[in-house]
Amino acid sequence: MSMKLRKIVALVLVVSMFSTFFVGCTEKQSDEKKTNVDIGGKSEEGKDNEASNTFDKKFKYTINMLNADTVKNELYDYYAEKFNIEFEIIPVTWGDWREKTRLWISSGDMPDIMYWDLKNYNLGEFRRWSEQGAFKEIPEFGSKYPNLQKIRDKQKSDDYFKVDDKYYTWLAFQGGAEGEKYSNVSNQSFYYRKDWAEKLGMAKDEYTWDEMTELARAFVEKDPSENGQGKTHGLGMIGWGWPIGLVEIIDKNVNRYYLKGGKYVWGAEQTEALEAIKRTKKLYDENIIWQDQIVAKNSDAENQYLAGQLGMYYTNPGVGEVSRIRNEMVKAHPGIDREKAFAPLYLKNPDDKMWAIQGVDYWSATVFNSKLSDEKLERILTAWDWIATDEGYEFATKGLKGVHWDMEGDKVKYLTDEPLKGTNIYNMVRLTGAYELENPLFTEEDRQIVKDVAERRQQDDDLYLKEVDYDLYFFNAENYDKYGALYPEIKDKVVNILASPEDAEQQWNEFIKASKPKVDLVIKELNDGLLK
Amino acid sequence: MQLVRNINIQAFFNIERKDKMKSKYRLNGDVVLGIILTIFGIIVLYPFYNALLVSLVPQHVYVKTPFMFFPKEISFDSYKFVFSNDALMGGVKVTVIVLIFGVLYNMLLTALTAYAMTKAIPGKKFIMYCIIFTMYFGGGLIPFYLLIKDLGLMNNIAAMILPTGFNAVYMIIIKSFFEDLPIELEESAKIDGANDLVVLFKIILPLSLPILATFSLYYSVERWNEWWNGMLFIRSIDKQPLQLVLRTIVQDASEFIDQASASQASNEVTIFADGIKMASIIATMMPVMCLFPFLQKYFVKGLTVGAVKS
Repeated sequence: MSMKLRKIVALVLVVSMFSTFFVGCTEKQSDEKKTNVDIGGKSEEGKDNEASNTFDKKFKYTINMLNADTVKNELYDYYAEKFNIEFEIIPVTWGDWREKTRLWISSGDMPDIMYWDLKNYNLGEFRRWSEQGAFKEIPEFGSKYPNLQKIRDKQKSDDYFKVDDKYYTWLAFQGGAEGEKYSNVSNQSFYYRKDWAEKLGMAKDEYTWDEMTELARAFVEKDPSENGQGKTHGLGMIGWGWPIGLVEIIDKNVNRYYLKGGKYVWGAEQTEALEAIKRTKKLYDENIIWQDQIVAKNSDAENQYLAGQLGMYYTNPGVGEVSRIRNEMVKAHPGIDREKAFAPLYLKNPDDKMWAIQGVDYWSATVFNSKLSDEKLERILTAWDWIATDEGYEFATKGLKGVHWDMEGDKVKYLTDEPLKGTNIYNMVRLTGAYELENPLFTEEDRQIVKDVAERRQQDDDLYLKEVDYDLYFFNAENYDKYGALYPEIKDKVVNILASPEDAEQQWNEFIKASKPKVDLVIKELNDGLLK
Repeated sequence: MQLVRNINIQAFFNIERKDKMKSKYRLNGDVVLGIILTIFGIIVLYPFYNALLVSLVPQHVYVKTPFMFFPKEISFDSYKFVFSNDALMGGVKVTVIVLIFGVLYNMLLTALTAYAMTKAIPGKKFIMYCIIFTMYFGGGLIPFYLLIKDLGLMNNIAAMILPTGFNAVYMIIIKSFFEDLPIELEESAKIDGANDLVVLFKIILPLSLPILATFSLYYSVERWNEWWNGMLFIRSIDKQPLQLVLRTIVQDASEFIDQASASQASNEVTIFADGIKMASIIATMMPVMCLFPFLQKYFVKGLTVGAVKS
């Protein structure tokens, strides 16, 4: 390279290095300016507080969200304008939500408002981050945010997330509908072809375990839809529910620890668990359970049901799901009776009890970036407090009065044909799923069966409820965190036993024996930690 | 003489018989091999074929026969949905930008580095070790994230282009290829007054077009499949690459349909999750699948060219 060229290259390098340096300085200055705009000058604190009370100053928040591209709509415009706020929405999907939130916290690059799939299994992680100052403390609500306080008063889970007696997270409340006896009892249930049952003369309001078995057997053997021999199956389940969802109808403790005689015991180890597994195996061996269920993917059984080849299907539908499945049945089988094509099957277990499962009272959580200013936190909590009012709930469920709905006499009249989209951002405060039961955009019949299933599970004269033990659910200890109740192992073993021609009892006992050393460690932790 | 002739004729017929038997065995062997390979081919190709069919049939046909050989009814609703979907089409645009600028950037860095490494530069061995080191060890996810953030590349398409400068293996192969070119060409150019850059761009690169074409293809496929950096650093939906959008669809097609139908004009089409999933996969694979038969020889060449020094 000639000397002249070398000099030119050297000059270019020096100039570019200096320009990078100055660009860096400029960016920092503009960052500082930006920060001043956001949080306001400290010397004028009083003035700023006054401004924030009247929402004169606009605040912008970064926030992560599922279904991010549906959020910015008329509802959002109204909400943003009402509180003079703006959201920069960072999309997350089910596949990367956990990974991204963990990365953001670790790298100190959390959004201002971080929506988090915070459950009992990452409670330890949450506590560690809180202690290290990653999240902003949420103040006591008291009279400043009375509507949020009302939700907090109803919620049990909240207290388990306290760190050093301080709140660092807000949990989206999903308690049961008003007036429900049992909070958040799940709709997991069997649904069936009532039209087939009527054709076979076996339709009933409620079925005992044996009656259900006979009905499923009749579906297989008598082939009411004339699919051809061997093409009609009795009973199938949504993938995540299989097979434990079926076993726990008979023994609700099969996959958990529970209190027995004042001590925690492992449900799988009890004789009831083995009996429940034997009963389930009998159903499989007698061809009552769809034989491909053991290798089926999550929605395969539903596809069998939609294809008219399955008589009973276990799932957990809300009104939207009921409506979807019924519509798809009509599409796939023109002329079918829509309501009888997918009807709830009220099933009693072998002890003649109506089984039901209770869930925890929240779903998902929100934490705030520790660098978020007090003013910004105050503004968002004010906006949330409004969402927690009846007016806010109406906004998050029905939309804007005059745009999406209006009153016609004493009834709500919808002005649009589509359910509201983009309500996730309001669901962070409290879940609005229960509104489906009232939403006139779904048919009366579809709403009614979900209500019926829920109400049937509020009658406690014969209820076999798998209730939530909150102390156990949120318990943290080394071995408990590592092994839990060995749920994945139990699930795999039950599937193996169902598929295997060998003796169920022997296989199960061998599994219990092999698992005992781990389980004993956990039981000791539970009894020491929870029964003091 | 007669005896010899008889023996020769006999020997000739023996050989012919043996050849016939051999060719018969060979024929039988070929048939067996052909059958085995055909079965293997069907096993490999059927999932693609079934994916194509699932994308082409309406839901009521799919739920009755999820595995099929011939569709009973054809519907293009899934494709209508895919091609009118803003997220997917936006993803195509972003991926094309990433591909064009990414491949140019990769090839420039790869060629410059490879050429530099053919020269006797100070610390050459050390630099080479440093490059090889990156093949085995990475800096870790969080430092990588912080680096991109500090470079100001968050939510910038450049975050999907700049972090991958070049592939060390490709660079080493191209370097070997450069080393095989006659040194006399370079020497004569230098006698005529050319500097290193002129030699590289006017002598070496024009002579290396086959290997450059091969590795451009390799880089193109990598860029077409880019999603990881997009997932980590892109914060706006309109800047997501195609494969990231596809990942979202494959993970939760029902949710995607639900979201998309809020903003899409084609609300009336009868679409279903698996149909959309398969239509998206086919639409995303199609460009690479269509080009591959024509470019296959370059891919094969890339595995051997420059790898052995003459």
